[in-house]
Amino acid sequence: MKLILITRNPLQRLRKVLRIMRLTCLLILITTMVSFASTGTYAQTTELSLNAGTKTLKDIFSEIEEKSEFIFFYNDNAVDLSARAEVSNKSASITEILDEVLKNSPAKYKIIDRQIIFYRDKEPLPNSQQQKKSEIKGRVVDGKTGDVIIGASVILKGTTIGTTTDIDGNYTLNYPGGRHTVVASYLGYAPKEISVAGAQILDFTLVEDAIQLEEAVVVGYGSQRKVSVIGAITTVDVDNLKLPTGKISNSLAGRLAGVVAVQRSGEPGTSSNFWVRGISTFGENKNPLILVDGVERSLDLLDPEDIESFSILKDATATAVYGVRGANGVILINTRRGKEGKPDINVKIQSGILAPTKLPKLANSATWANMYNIARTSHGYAPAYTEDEIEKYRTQSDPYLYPSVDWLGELMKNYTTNQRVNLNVTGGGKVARYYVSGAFYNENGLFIKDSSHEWNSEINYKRFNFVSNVDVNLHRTTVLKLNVNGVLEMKHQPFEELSTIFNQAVSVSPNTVPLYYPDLDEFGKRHYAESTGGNIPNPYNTLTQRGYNDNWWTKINAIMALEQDFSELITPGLKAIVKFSYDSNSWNQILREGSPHTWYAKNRDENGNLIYEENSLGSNTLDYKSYANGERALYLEGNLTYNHTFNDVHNVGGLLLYNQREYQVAASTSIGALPYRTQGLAGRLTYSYNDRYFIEGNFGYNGSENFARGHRFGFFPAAAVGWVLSNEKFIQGKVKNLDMLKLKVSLGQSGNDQIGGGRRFVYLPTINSANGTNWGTSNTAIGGIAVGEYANNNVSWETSTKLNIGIETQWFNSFRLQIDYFREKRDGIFVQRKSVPDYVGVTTMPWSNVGEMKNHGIDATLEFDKQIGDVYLSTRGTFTFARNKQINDDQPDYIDKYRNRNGQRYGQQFGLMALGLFESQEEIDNSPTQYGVSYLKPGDIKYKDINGDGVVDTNDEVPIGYSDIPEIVYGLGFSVAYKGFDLSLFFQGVANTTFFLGGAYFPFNYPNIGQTSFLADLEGKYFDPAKQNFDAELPLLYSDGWHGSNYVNSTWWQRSGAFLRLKQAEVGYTLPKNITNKLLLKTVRFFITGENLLTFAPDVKLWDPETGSQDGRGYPLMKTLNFGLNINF
Amino acid sequence: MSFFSCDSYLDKQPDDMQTLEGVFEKRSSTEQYLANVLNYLPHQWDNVCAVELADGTDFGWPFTPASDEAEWGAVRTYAIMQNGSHSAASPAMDFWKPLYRGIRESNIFLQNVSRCTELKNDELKLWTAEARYTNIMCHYWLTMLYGPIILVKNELVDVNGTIYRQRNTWEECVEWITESLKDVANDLPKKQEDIYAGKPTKAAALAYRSRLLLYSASKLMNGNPFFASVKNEDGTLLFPQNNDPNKWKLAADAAKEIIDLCESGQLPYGLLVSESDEENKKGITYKKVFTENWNKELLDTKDLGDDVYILDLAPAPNGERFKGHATNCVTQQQVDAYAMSNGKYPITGYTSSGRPVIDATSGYSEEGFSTFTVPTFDTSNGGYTGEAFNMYKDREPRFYASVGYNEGVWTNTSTTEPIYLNKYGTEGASSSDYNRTGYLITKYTHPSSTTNPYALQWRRCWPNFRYAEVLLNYVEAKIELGETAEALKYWNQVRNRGGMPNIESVYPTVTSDIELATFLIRRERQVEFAFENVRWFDANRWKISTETNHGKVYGMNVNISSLSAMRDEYYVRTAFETRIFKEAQYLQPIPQSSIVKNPKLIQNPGW
Repeated sequence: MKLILITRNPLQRLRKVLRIMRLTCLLILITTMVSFASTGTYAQTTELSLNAGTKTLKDIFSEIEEKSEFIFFYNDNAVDLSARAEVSNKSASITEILDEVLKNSPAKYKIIDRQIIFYRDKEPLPNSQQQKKSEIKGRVVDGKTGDVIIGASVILKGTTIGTTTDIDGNYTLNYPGGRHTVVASYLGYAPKEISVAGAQILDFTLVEDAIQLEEAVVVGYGSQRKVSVIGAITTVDVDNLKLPTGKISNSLAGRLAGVVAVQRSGEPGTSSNFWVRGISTFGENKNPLILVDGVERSLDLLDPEDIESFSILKDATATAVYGVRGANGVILINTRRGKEGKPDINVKIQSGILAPTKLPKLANSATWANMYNIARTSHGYAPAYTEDEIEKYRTQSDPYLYPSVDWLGELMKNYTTNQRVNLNVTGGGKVARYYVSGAFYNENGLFIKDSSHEWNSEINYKRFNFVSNVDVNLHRTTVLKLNVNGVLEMKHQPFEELSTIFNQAVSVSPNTVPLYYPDLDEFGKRHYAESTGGNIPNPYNTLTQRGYNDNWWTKINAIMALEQDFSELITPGLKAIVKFSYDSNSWNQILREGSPHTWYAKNRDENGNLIYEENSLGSNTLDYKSYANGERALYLEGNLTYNHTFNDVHNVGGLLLYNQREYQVAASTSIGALPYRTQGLAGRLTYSYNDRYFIEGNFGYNGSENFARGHRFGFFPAAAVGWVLSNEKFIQGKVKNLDMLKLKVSLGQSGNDQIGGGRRFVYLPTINSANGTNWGTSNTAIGGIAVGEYANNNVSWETSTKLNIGIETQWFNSFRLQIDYFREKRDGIFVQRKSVPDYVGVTTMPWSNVGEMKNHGIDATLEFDKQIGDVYLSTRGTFTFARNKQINDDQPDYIDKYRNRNGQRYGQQFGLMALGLFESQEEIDNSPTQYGVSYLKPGDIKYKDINGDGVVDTNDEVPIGYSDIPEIVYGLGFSVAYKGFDLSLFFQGVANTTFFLGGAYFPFNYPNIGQTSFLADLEGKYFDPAKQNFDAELPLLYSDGWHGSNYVNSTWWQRSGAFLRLKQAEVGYTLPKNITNKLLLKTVRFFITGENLLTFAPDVKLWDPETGSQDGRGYPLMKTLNFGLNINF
Repeated sequence: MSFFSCDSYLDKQPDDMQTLEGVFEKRSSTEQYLANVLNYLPHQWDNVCAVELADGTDFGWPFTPASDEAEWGAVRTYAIMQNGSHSAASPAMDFWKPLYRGIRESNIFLQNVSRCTELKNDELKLWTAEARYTNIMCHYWLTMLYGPIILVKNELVDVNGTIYRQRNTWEECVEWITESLKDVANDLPKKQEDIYAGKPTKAAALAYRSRLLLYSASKLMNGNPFFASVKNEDGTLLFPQNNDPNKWKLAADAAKEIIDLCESGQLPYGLLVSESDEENKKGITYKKVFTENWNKELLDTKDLGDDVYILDLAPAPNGERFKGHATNCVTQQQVDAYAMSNGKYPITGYTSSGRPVIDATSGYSEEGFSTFTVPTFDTSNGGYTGEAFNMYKDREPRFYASVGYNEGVWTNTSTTEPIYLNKYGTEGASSSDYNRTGYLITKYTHPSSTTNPYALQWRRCWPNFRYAEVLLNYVEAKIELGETAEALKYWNQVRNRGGMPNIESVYPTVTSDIELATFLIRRERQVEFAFENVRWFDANRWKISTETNHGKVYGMNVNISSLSAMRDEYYVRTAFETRIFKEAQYLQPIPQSSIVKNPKLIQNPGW
């Protein structure tokens, strides 16, 4: 026996039926809850008026469903739907109507609220009292929330005996005796089977089925049923993006198949670089188009709590509608909207601590001086420091004349703190629904301040988000949607850039000056330290004495949209939307610049007092400067959509859309301040047959003001086909445990109009000032002008041609796999010409669409969910591999063809092949010369002379390693829930990326020795002539100036940037329902979240590998530990 | 879809962005465009040290220190032209790109200038001629440096395509350039108005034409077997295969044409000769050629503006007295080239070991010291008397006008003390900034200038092309044609102005002995045009650079052990470097970066 909803199309497939049923049940649930305590039943109060005439029962029931909220269920063969009955033309209650039409039928019915269930007269009533002695009773509940499930079906497997649960989730099943398997199922949940051998109480706990085939997926300018999606689209559970710190972009890596992302710095408020399917162009714009609620906006503006859905559109059929803007992929984010019902209030409070993931350790002055002496003596210079001085550094007997300052340690706290509070409410009634939210985020920095000042230079970042999304039904068929989103960001920091301060703290030698001197001047102010001449900065002064910098960003974004359903007026399934939005962002900065009064002490007088030299007078007051800038964007869109199913099997959909956008910045140049405009059309046509065969065509036709008339608009078509094998008769039910199998192929084009190169209006030439000449006996200068950029009428967008082949499958109701293979060819990349012959005489090489690049790879998502008893397990893994190849950037061939950048991956690293260290002067004499360096010594790096010309130089550089952007990004997450406890871990890693060591690995290499620190971990790792350790990790040290032979990019210095890190770990506990209910709350959950807790990197031990730093001297990423409370009521 | 029939939404909003059309509507901006075009004419005075090629236009002119007459002590980017490391991959100087840019810019101007309705007819004609002149002269310099080139002429090649071109033949290049120069000369003024002084003139166009024809007649380009096999992909041979003596006739005629025009008064130029024989004899007139602005000998010249400091400060001795840079040094070979005051050349050549071959009849000695008086070129003509090395005694006036030597006097009359050119300088303090040869160029130093403190008092015009060169071009061509006697008059004009006796009075067989005449005219040019960027091109076209600019280069021993040991140690011929000049270096290498962009472009032989 199965339950079937009677619709106009009773032959429709089960899934479709269930979808409607589920929605209906949801409706029942909501309305029952809302109106639970109130009145009598719906059935008693509702009067219906049907069209008169003789009709089949099927038509009658359909009509009732359409005109009321009733839903019909029937047990197999309970009622003959083709039977005809007479309907009279009068208003009546449901029971009156049913009694009338069923008077000639054996069918009986029962009304449970809005559900009407039929049964055979001969059969006992499903929950009849008569069969009490042999029945199975129980309850069906949601495994995760504990809520009862209404309308779940419970059947004896292999029989026609079954029933549905009532509004309390209870069921009673007629039990014929013997051994049976009872199956409980409900749409959206995995079915569950329990064996019985007698009457008993049997409760079912169902677990949500993560693949919801009928779920709506957000696609370009609309949404589609999941089964019908045949483009390459990745969606992610928004919960996965809710990291306690930073910005959303920082949580993308490894979470979404097809995204390559790296976070290079942990400065408060910084975001990640990310690309969809890696990098497919070496043109100016490599970034995806980001649309928030359909409007182009910044991703990091949003608070993760406000996000409803997050999708990434990757292939041509998904992106073609964005035409000239879609080539680099599209990210679609929709914010949450109101749902009908009582207010659902959610509060989340978090507080945490942050600390650098890994900081380099810097050598103290004694070690530093020792290493410097070795560097000098290795090249025949006298040591710079005596044993006595080194001893003073070691013992710190006089820390003011012989300082040993750990700048990093002195300037940075061990940890800092952050706080986050979110409050959101959703709810509404028949007319209006709302989602409103407020969020506050606060993060402090790691640098200290000088508390003797009245002003504060400590870092602090704050963000306030307000969202109000309201939907109002103006009419039964008309909805008005209004989104208002405001963000205020504030950042207070020292006057100097954080990267500058950090860089000084890790670069200045430990023995330069003390932090500050102990004595006060006559005004009671400290003697701030600075070395003579002031050419070596004192990082403490840079941090604390230079004043401060206040920034704030105000962003107001609003969208108003009007949706009109023309199903009744024109034809079923036709809808129109008009949308208008404006965004206004402004930035203000206040700079208060100061400079300290500095001193330098070289000696002590006979009394032991420090003798000071006055270095710089500084200023007593802070200088004032302020800057402001702003930008705005206006967007207008109108679209028509159509979606209808003919003859039950032919599903036809369509979209036609127009949009235009104007974006203007208060730029510093008149050209830059002209509005940026785009305009376009988009369309889509979908057809599917019986949910087995899908075909889809998309196009974008849009243009950009950068190009000449006649070259502005491009047409970007794409097509895709899909085949759901699992819906074929020859597979359905024949392959065991196969739930779903879909194959899909798409091919098409999109474009990229962000041509960059600092050029706008490429069809217009620019006139530059140029060299002039002096004429005349009085030598008068006449300034010159010349053509700067040549006009190019033919300049146009980049075109991307993409192929995607994908497979989606689900087995055992718990195991899901989606793999896409992609190939992409990018043509017409806008590059500055490099191959225009010189005889042409061009001063500024023209820009043109001549670049070509290829990209291909795989992205995959694997998911697995399983419930074992009370333990709920889930795993999700993603894998992205993208390998690109630069075909032509218009660079002519090198003489040595192996040096060509064309044919290599974008950003491919080049360097010399290191053969080891020279072990003797004889070996040096018998080897090719190196860059003409005459002072090579044993212990210097020996390189291979690739072209055999007897000289090792840049001509011998070959492609080595990869680029600094990883080719492989992967993620693996596990979560376990048991009763109220939950635990989740998320690992993320990258591979196929390399970088070169540098900076601190080349110590004592500046003309100014005070500007070079020494990494403590490198002590003893360099070649030391005294030890003759030719197996040393690092070559001979040099003491002065650049050494052009050791310190060039080579295999010696190249390292793998691969890493795997525990990106996130979370432990939570949800209070049991009974406690929560007593508190009049729905859910209460406590949790601890950690971020970047562990990192494994085979080649980078001393600092965070993700920063891509050559020596660890960049601002580190943060690891965090957050404690939080989430209350829902 | 009506909004798509008109994409006006995407039209640029109007603003005041300048357009090419707009530039050529206004006279003032058209003139600015012309100013940039004319700036592509090489700055031939820029010869202190090479200037960076940042924007590709202000390129240095390295030919004085690159040849055997001089050596620069400061930045020496030209040094790779003589140390053997010169290559197409990293050429010493990339003239190829900037000169072709000059061609393009002039063509843009020529295509648009007629649209400027604010120009009067004669101004339009003049500016057009000036831009054409620039266009031709960029071709001229490319040809002088690289040999056969790609003749772009007046074509604006499409920048958005990639069009490969091959080189034209030497004959085609010379013919087009010389014909065009003759043609444009008709449109150029005899003399520019004072406010435009320095802009191209008719005389300049004809003068460069004369020089190129002489160059083309010379040994390097007239049937040189080293170039015999150089051909384009299609088999076109780029260099003339046979020696054509008639080319000397063309060269002679071209020079004579200018001489006639000047002598008949049709062109306001001529040799600068003083009415006072005394001034001519002492070399004072010769000095004035380089210190008197806009004098009538300068066919092509340019006011140096503030750059004039390089003429006063760069060669001045270092130390407190002058605060100069002591960077512009004269080689011993150049010192040896000057005649004695009696007109005889003291040194006629060198032995294989580098020892000078001394003409004993000249009265020259490299032994001992004497007290003698030399001219100081100041207004009082007082002269300077002091004890100095005998090598510098009784030399011709042009020597004293051009070269500063140890224990001699600086041209600047405010200093009558001797100068010391060695490691210890004038003050005796050891300095890293001392001259390398023991000689400094004084040719361009104004007798009244001060270097300490430096004050810009005397504007100077640089001699891009002097009338004297036209005369000596004529003389050389006539010698090659075996008609020396016909040219003696012009040769002696130059000599007499420089304080020298008639050539036939010193060397009576000059009219009958072509070999002697050739030796003498070459010496004459080396002396007369010293440090004027003429020697490099002369030595090349005579094909003697492989000897004169190859091997050890000498100066005095500036690295003396102490100041007091100066007289004992200093006056020894000392090689300060060894130069390499291979046959390939007669032509500059076309930059490899330009070859790879144009596969049809054949590299010069040997590079």
